[in-house]
Amino acid sequence: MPRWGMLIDLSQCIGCHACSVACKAEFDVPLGVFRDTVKYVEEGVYPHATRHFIPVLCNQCEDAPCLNACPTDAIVRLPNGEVTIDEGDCNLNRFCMAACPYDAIYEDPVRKVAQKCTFCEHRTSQGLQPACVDACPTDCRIFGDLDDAESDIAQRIATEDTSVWKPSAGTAPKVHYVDPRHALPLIEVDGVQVDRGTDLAGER
Amino acid sequence: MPATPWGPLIALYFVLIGLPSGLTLVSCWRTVRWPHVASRTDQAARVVALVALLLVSVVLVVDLGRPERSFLMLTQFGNLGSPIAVGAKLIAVKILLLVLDLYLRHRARGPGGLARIPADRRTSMVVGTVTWMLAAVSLALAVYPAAVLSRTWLSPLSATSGAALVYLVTSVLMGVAAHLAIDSLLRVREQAGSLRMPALVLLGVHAVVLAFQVVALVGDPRLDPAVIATFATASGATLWWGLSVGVGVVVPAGGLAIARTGRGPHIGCATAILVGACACRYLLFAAGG
Repeated sequence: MPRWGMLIDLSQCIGCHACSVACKAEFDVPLGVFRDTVKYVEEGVYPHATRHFIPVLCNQCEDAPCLNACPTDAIVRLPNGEVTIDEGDCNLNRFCMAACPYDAIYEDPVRKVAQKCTFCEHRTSQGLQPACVDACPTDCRIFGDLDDAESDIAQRIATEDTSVWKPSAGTAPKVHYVDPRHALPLIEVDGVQVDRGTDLAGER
Repeated sequence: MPATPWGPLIALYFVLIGLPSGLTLVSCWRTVRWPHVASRTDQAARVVALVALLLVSVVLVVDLGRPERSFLMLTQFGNLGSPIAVGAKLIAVKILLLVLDLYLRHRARGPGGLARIPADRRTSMVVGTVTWMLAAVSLALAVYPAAVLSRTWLSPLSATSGAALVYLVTSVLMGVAAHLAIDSLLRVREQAGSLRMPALVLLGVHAVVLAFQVVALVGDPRLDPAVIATFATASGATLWWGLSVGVGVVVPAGGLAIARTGRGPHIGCATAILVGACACRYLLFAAGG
């Protein structure tokens, strides 16, 4: 059984949001919430200012806090390591959302359940790539079996300097990043969902 | 972090869940310590504990996005590592135990009301077992908010070293305050069984626990400075210095030290303790989240 993981090369991401759009289309994700999005962070001052693009999604953690928090067994880990939410067993108590340090779980306002990225389990079980990986025009995302030493992802993780988001959370994420400019710590206090608390009235 | 997924109802739940636990713990202690004196207020205290527990359960269910599926928290046993799952089951067990306990006490009453029918050995054993089980479940429910909240990023103070102790002490304080009020309302005047001295001792313990918790927090390099900064804001300082320390400790300690008896002063002190304990638990839940 494979152990799926993802590697995102931040030096190749151009912030086009094709991944976000593909994900929204694949799962009919409502406005205002995200399974997968691209953060941007600006650093430095003119003439040395730069902008980093950082795709973020559920990290499918090995030690998933959401899995341990769910009181109704609605969150399950599949044999391939993917962490998914069974809608029928979710009573929307939001403890998973409070436990996730990446704010990767959102409340679906239409279905009234907690939702998050599943690594496109319905596609990967058919031998396809996740929708975000297929949509990426720069191939900055590599999806594959972390346990297969011959896979692209395993070889790149073995040979390149990679990191994970919020290593201090101790969740052992399965989404790895190639981050040569050390942009990940810059979004340390932000999550996958967007903070709309500062929006002007009427713009929500 | 973006907007919190939790609203005021869950804050209310974690604040008020301490009351039924404290009420039951103090009831059990009084039952063992002063069996005859305590019997006069036990019935009322246990009814209040049952009503309070039912109310906080309703708050928890109403907070759910799909309240019609709340039963899943009781029927699913696959994730006993989830403190909230264990807590929900403990609440259900405690409700059943309280109902059973009230029934046993009702059955033991004589025709005149308060006179007790002597129980046989087996009945006494059942009553004793239920009392100890109630105490054990209440103790677990008194500290379980710390276990639940330490798993979240919403309540950094609940993951600190003294959080469980603060939840336990505030819970028992709420129970003592409620008993004080019930004693005063039922006009129980016996010197034996009075909660005035235990309340004063517990307020002293509470003050010491809070002092050491503050010392630990101020020097904790792992804690986000923004959490400590919330205590310096107007609302944070009001909740901490005004309600938790001033109303919750200083006022009732002074009141109980001066007023040995008196219905009004004791009800006032009980109210102050309840307000202070609630403010303290709310701060522990919400600061920095």
